[in-house]
Amino acid sequence: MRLLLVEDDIDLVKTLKKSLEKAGYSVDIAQDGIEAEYLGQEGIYALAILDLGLPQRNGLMVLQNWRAKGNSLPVIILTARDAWHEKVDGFKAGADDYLAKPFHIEELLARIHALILRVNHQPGGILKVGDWLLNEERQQVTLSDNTAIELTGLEFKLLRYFMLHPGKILSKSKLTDQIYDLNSDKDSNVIEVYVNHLRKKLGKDYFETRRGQGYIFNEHIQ
Amino acid sequence: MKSLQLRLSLGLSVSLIIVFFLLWQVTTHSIADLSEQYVAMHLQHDAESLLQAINIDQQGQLSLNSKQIEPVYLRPFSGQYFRIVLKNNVLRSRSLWDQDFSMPHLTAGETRQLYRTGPQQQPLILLVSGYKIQGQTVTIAVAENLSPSLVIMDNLQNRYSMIALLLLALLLGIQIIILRLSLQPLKRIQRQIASLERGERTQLDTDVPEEVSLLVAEVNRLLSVLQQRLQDSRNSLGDLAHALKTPLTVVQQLVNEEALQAQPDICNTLNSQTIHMQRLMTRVLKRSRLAGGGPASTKIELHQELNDLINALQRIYQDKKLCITLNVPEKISVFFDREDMLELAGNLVDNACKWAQAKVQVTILLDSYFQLIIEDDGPGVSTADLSKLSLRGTRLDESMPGHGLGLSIAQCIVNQNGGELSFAHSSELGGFRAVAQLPLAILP
Repeated sequence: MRLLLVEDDIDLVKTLKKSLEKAGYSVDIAQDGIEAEYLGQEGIYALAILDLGLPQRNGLMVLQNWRAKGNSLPVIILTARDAWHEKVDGFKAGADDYLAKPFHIEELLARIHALILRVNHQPGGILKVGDWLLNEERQQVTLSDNTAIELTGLEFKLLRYFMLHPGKILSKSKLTDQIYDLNSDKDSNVIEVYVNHLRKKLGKDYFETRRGQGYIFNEHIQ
Repeated sequence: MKSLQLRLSLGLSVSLIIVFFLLWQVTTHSIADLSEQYVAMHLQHDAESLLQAINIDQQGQLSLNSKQIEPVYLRPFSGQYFRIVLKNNVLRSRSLWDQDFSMPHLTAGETRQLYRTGPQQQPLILLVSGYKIQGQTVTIAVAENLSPSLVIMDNLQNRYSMIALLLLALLLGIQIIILRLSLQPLKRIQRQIASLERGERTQLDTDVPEEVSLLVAEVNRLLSVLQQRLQDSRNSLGDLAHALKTPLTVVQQLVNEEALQAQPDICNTLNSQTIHMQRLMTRVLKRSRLAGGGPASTKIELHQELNDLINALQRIYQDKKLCITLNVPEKISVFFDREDMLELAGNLVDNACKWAQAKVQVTILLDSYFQLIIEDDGPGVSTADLSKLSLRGTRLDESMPGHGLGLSIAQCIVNQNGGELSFAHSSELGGFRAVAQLPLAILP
């Protein structure tokens, strides 16, 4: 799951990136409005966290421009400005959620989690596909017989993406995009290795290979 | 300090009265003088015609040619008298009858005008002249009763006084009207200053008389300076608080650092201090936001704005699946500060959404007052707690998120705009009911 973090304060970026990565997200950073608008148009992000007071281009304008171009990237506005007229203007510009600084990282994570589930039609705050229940905090999956299986960071990232898109063909490059951020060396062979890890831990049939196309997560087999 | 109008009208009235009194004095004296001069001239003529009629015989006896005497001198007490003296020889007009008046003896060529009381207490004016006839000095006194002309003069004076008094009253009236009219601009400024205090205007009108235009311009300048300073201090206070929020967020996240995990004491202190700082900042921000109360009113399309607000709240409380109904007439607008209106409605509706089970209702009533009513179907508040609610920062339930400022901010906004905020039990939805009543002008 790859997120776009738009924030110009370097220290805040540092701590946020660390916390977000710990929670299993890949994070790209944009530190000004123009870069943010460009990156947001790439179509590789599951969600954007947008500060409003940005250099070069105001965050509200970035958001309006995205929406004007038909970009429906889920956006959480993260700002010090928390008067009601500012919130209303933020939502009017097309924000999906609004979080006022200062905030606790847990609250931001909860909102990201809820928004991603909502966007992927999984309301209720839990990611459950078939009998499988993904525990985001502990990064483990609970199977139908209530056995909890521990996952490594990359396995968790990969499984979460599969579970959010059950029954859909996911190409290797798409999976790579979601797992790495801009600064990592991309190696699509790694995907193969980790899909095999998941197959070993959870069962072979759930992760079907489509030659030349990618993988499908089959929930109905459960 | 007495009123300007009182001082001006007192001064003008006193000077007008003095002028009229002097004028009256001069005029009445002139009239009296004039009539006496006229009588004296007439007496002079009579004296000269008497002189023509005088005869002095060989024995030095005086006699008059009675044909040449006007009949008025023959009728007793007619008011016209004469008396001619030649040494011991006195000739009196028949009109004197048995009466007489005293007179001096004059040498020839001498003339005197005198006043005496004559027969029947008549006030007489006397013209006494000395002549030389056939070598002998004759003194002729001709007298006339002044009372008829005094009566005429009295009449004249009365009439004149009446007219003068009327004119004086008229002038005083006109003067009061002129004063009122010329002090009208000051009255207007007075009214404008009052509406300035109520926040209905930001500046005084400048189409005022030259004498006060400098003052008005100065007041206007001071007002805009003050407004600017207030705005600046609001802004800088707000900017500071906003600018502090990002660093505070960073400091808050330090607790999550692995290096600090082994030091729970430091983490706790850090936590409690950052929470304290956050509370302080929120308070400062809200206060700076509410500090003005200036007339920054704009036309607000209520339905549109409240609809946007409800859309925002529905996204914030998406997981609760709330049904928020809006009972607001489609096409009404009011003059109000948009930020204040959204802050007021936002805080009240947010509070309702926090507690509601499924339903929130936002209503605007336009009876004699503008009323914003927000109801929910939550647990509501007991009667005893209702009064505690509006106290600044009071929170009845510490478990709900928020800084406990919401309702008291709403209270501040309402108070600042001369309205009233009341809390009650909602009979329709069964939960909490907040009513903000504001003195607003509804625009069609």
